[in-house]
Amino acid sequence: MANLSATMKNFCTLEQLAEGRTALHRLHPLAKLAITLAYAAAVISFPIHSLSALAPMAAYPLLGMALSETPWQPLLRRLALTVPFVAMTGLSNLLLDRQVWFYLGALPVTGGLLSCLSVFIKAFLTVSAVLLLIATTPLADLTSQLLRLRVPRVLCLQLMLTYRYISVLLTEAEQMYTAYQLRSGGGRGIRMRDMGPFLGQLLLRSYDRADRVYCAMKCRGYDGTYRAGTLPRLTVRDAAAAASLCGAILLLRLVNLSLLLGRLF
Amino acid sequence: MLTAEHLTVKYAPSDARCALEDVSFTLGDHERTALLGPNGAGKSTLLLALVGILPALSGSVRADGVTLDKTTLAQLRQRLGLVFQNPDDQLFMPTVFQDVAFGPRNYGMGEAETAQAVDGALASLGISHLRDRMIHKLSGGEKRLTALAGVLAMHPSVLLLDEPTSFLDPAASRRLQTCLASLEQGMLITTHDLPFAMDLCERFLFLSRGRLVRDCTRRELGSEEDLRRELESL
Amino acid sequence: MHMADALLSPAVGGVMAAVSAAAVGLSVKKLGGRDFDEKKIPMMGVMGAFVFAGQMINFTIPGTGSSGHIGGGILLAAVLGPFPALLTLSAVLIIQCLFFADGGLLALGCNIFNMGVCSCLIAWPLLFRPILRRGVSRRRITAASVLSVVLGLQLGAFCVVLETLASGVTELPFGAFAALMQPIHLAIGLVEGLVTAAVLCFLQDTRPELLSASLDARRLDAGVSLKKVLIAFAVLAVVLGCGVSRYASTHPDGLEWSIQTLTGSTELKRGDAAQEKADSSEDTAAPPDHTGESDGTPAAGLIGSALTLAAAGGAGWAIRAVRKKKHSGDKN
Repeated sequence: MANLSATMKNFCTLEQLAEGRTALHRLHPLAKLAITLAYAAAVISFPIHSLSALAPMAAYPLLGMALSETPWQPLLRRLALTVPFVAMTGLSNLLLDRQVWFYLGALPVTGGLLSCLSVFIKAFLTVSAVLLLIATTPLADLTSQLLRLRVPRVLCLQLMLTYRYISVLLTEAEQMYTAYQLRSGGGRGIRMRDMGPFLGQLLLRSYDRADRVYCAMKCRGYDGTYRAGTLPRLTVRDAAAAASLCGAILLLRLVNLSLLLGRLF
Repeated sequence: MLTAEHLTVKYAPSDARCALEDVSFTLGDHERTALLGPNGAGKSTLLLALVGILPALSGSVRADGVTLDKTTLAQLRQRLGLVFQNPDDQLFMPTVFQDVAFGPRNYGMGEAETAQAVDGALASLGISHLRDRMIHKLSGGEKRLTALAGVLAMHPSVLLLDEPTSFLDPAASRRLQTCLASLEQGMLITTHDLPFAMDLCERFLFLSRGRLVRDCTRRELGSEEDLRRELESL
Repeated sequence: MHMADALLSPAVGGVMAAVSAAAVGLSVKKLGGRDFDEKKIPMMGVMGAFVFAGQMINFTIPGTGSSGHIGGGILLAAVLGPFPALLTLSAVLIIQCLFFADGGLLALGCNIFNMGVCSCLIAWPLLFRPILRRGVSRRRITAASVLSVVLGLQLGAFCVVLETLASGVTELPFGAFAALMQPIHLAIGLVEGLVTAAVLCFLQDTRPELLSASLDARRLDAGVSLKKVLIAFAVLAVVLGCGVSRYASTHPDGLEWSIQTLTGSTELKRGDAAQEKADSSEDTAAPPDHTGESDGTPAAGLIGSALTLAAAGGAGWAIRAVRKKKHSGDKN
């Protein structure tokens, strides 16, 4: 299936990006997590008709992606996934909120138009912030950081195991699907009546594999506790970078920089 | 040194037939032994029983003076390193380093000691360059070597290898053979790959329907053709 | 049904994150109980990968020409039990959020609740388990699967409606929104329920011990009625979310006060006409938020936005150009 191999390609791309050595990559995972959360919270806290105030917030993803050498294609792919639901909300606002706020020349700008654009921009900004995080931080480091933040060990181990076995399961599913297609007489997708055995077989294979993985874990001393590696310490530089970025985000949230600049002209 | 005495195993207590029946043998230090037999003979079962994954109905297993029982499982499993047939079952962490470090960390090694063990294991197999690689990107041969490294990092005295050349092309198979030949640990290797067995091992155990039917050296065996005939007669 | 960050307010996101964290914490605690089978740990991981892969497999729905895929909550709960299933789904949702932007980071709490808690911790014990406790048969499996999947999805979809409305992001009235979401998810639920039933029937035929393990009462010992606790959580979350958002939107004093103290008078110059407009717009539209749009100076806002975007974009382009040159210089 096209989306199975596209999925693996996506993982590989992001993993490769996360292996970079730019300043953003070297920043401590805790700092990056804090900045990402602060940024996303700030963006979504803007009132629904904000537009000009949101513009300066674009500096973080624009500069961040340039500094970390993150390409634009992954971002566009991610936006494509987020757009449908966001579009539904945005467009319904456009249609429902017809109150005119002001005129741009002859064009009436309604509240609906503002909130529609605003929600699209917020989607763009929040999605790019998360992409920046995952493109500059390997999952292993992120998980180690989560463990340090007292996220339950079990959940962290699940993140690792699930991530590890996605490729295995996708490959198996693809092979099973190819075999199915060769004997099902064409057509895309799987017939509903065949889903039971198809998914059931995949489930059983997963179940049995998990059994063997458990044995392998026990053979290497697993006793129920997941022990992750240690992360490097949070340096003063990392803390300062995080603090200043969060400060800038707060400032941009409270002060409409676009308005200030625009008023100068 | 690894000793099995009158080992009897059933998959389920209610089973009529024994998966292993009265199996006894002793492996000397540094001795490389091939475990051969038809499908369903109980080869993989024997390996799982030696590390206590499958509990024995009767009999005993002893490695380096430690007898297998409920309290010594962890100890024994550190001494007997089992490499599974399918590396994907054994490599369950996302990166090579994390997976090879899994064993040492569980056995209480500190971070520095763990890193040393990992790097040492990877170097002994010539795969240090794979240290930070994502496992799902590795080739079959690389996965096999990584799985082996994960076991070597725990400093075992005996290696148990379940069909190590399955899923491998001839080049990778040869590479694995070279690596194994360079290791000093004793080995018990189940395999269907007769040339591999003949080249690497000095001793041969033959299993049929759960019973050990022959135990001989390579000299006593003769040629590969003799080996093939022996197997087909089981 | 994954919610994006852009459709959420921090208040709602925060409340749902707290609720989901509590549910996840409870699940972890249940895993530590005396009946817990250590084998479950790798099982959950591989099953998580299975659900992920399973969601990529589309099946064709006869007669409609459209396709669907499984969600996995009830299926996981049937095989693993409700608490491991919730943890497994949480891991899957986190990975989907991070690697595919399928659901936002701040919306994780919402998504874990809508798709995890609703199916594993509410629909499964309320419908699936009681139906199958009385006996396992093809008919019962189908009924249990369809009913619990439908309930899980209906609850989840309803929560999406409530969360979006409480965030104040949409102009859609409650009735219209719900009328849009619920029937769609009813249809999805029916189809997914049938597929889940088919898979579980297959399992029942081939490996019946898989299903019976999770139905075993011993593994679910809970002092307080779990359902009641969670339903209480849900109600609390929604009430809190609505309440907090309402408060924040009608009493922006805190925010305005901080804006005033920070910027003094520079931002708040308004012409009389603009002031009147702002006053009137306060009654009907969103409260004045000191953007260029609301206080009568949209042009300034536009120019400023263009300037800031140009500056940021230009800087970004320059950085990339310099980096590219550096890399090609390194290569030579």
